[in-house]
Amino acid sequence: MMRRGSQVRATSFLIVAAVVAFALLSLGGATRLAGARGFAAAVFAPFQGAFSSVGDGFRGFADGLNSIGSLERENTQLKQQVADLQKQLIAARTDLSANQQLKAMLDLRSSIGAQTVGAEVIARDPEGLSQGLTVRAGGGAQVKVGMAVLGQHGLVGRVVAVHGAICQVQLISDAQSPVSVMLASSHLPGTLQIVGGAMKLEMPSAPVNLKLNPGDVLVTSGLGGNFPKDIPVAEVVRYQYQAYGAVQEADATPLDSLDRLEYVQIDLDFVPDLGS
Amino acid sequence: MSAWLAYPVLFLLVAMQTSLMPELAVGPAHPQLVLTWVVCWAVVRGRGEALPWAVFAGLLLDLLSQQPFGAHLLALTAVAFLADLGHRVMRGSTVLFAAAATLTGSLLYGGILLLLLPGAQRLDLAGLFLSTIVPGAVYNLLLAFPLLFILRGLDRRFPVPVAPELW
Repeated sequence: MMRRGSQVRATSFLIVAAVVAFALLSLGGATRLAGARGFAAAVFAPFQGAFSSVGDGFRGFADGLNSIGSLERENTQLKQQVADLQKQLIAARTDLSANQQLKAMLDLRSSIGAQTVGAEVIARDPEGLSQGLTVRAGGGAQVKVGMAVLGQHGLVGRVVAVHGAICQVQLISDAQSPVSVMLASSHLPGTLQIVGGAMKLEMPSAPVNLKLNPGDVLVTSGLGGNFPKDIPVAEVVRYQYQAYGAVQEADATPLDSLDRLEYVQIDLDFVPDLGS
Repeated sequence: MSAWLAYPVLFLLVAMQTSLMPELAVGPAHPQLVLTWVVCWAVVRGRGEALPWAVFAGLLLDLLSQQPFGAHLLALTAVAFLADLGHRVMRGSTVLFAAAATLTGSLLYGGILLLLLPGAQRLDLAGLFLSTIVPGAVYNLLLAFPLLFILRGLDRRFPVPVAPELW
């Protein structure tokens, strides 16, 4: 409880202060006391500068805290940008891959000296029961049934049906589509066919002590008239000479990855005589 | 507290009020360190001891502000006087007393300063009161708790000299 003496003192202070305050207020604002204010400003300036620096530090800290809230939005935006960039990167990689495939196909076309038309792989056999592709050939292409279909490195199949620009291709990995081949190095003939799900090279007329090396390239022989001659098809993967076998067999693999084909080219120069 | 210590402290508080505190503003809510300090000292000490502080601090604030000279002196002294009077109804320097004094004092202080603003009659005083004074009062309320703790420590460090009161 405030005692009387304190109250008197406090009231006195209030009265004096109020009188002074009203007197100062009646002076008409800051104009007549500008000098005093200038002096006060000069005296306080160093302290205010020091505290202001501290305040800046506080402000920076507060801004940092405040920025945490905006970080979430920024993070979301950055995630979106990363997602967009990933899409662009994937698209660029896809384009690069397509470019590489098409360039390789052009190289192949140049090497075999054939007139070809490009085609995009648009579908595969849904059940995988048959090794086939559906491709969309270039506009106006005169694609006919039986034409050879080339990949980046060699033969991948042949056209078995044509529906306008859409063509059905039977791959060389189909068991119903044996390919007459020969060794590119020695021209020894053989047949590539699918046996037990694997590609085999069968050479019924192989010489004694036949030597095959992994990587030996097989090219079409042209026998049977199904494919043009001298198109690379596959390479030898494994071979073991059968001393008492009438037919020498070797494991082979297509030069192209048949399950990853995106673009192929159709050899327009070769039209098999289906009647024969 | 000894005047030799009190006035330099007030000097620093005024310097902080005009430099550091604006940096700590949250939207329209500006903390008023000097006001809260004076009110809390009135709550802790009573006996009219906060009034000299109010006069001194008010004059310093008047020197450093652009408001009419005497406005801070009048407002701060009035608030300190009312906080002192609070001892008539609230015993002890409780947190509740400090909170009530700070909140009421902040609103009164802001109201007086608003009324003394140049061209106040042309201003939306009610709008200004609600948008700046009330948030500032809430800020001061938050500021009062640590200041009360500090000033209680000072009160214990510099106890009131026992002297017969004049009747």
